[in-house]
Amino acid sequence: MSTTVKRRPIRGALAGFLLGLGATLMIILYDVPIPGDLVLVGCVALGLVIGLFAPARGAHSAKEE
Amino acid sequence: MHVTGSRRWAPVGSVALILSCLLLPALAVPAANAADATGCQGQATSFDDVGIIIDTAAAPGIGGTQEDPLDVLWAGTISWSGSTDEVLQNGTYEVAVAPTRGGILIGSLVGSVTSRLPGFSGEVTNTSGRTTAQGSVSPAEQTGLSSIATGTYSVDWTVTGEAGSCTGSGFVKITDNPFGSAAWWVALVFILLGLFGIIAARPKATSAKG
Repeated sequence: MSTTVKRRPIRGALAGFLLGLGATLMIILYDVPIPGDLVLVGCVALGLVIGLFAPARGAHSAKEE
Repeated sequence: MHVTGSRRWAPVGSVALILSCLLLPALAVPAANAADATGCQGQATSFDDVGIIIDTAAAPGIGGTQEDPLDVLWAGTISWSGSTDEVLQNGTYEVAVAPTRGGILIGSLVGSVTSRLPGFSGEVTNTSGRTTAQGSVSPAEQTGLSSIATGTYSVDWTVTGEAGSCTGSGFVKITDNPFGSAAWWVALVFILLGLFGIIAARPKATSAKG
């Protein structure tokens, strides 16, 4: 039996963008001296990395026979 | 069973986290310009909800800078007065409000959106030919909401007329508690959607008999 891994970088980046927007908004509201652009780009990169390289879901249940 | 690349994210994430911690203080928003005005001058005083003075600013002059923004409360009132060097008639005005902490992308986006909102831009007639004006603004009364947002915002304005123009800029800080404001709830929803989205975006392993 073979196992294939389906990766979702676009979905991860979009989710990261949403997370970054929310985090940037909180930074604005609480007046935190952190550049919002950096947070936004960082969150998009985080989503991209997780979508590409995070441990695959369901991998533990797929056992070789 | 063999899944390739499933553990590679850990060192990448660690390096990104360490770099972020090292770079964030160095990339913090730099100190900004003083409140300024060309072709006009004005001053503003903020009051709390019972009429006690909170802060004052003048442009050009003291206060209203990013280091010392005009502190205001959403439920309070801002009284302002100003004068222009020339009689500005038959022209337009535009006010752009942008968060100072949002970065270039969010800042320019919010600035361009606010300048298109009703009341932030329009026509100047001034048929009586005055060079002075005064008034007061109460955010809570005008919006009908207890609180929309908090934080420090840059305010840029431009008034043009046939005889000349008036431009200026300053900084205002809404000092209310952010918790529970409209923007706070929007931010919370974005963060939760983003977190759930990232969790759902993890790679998925599928098995096939071969």
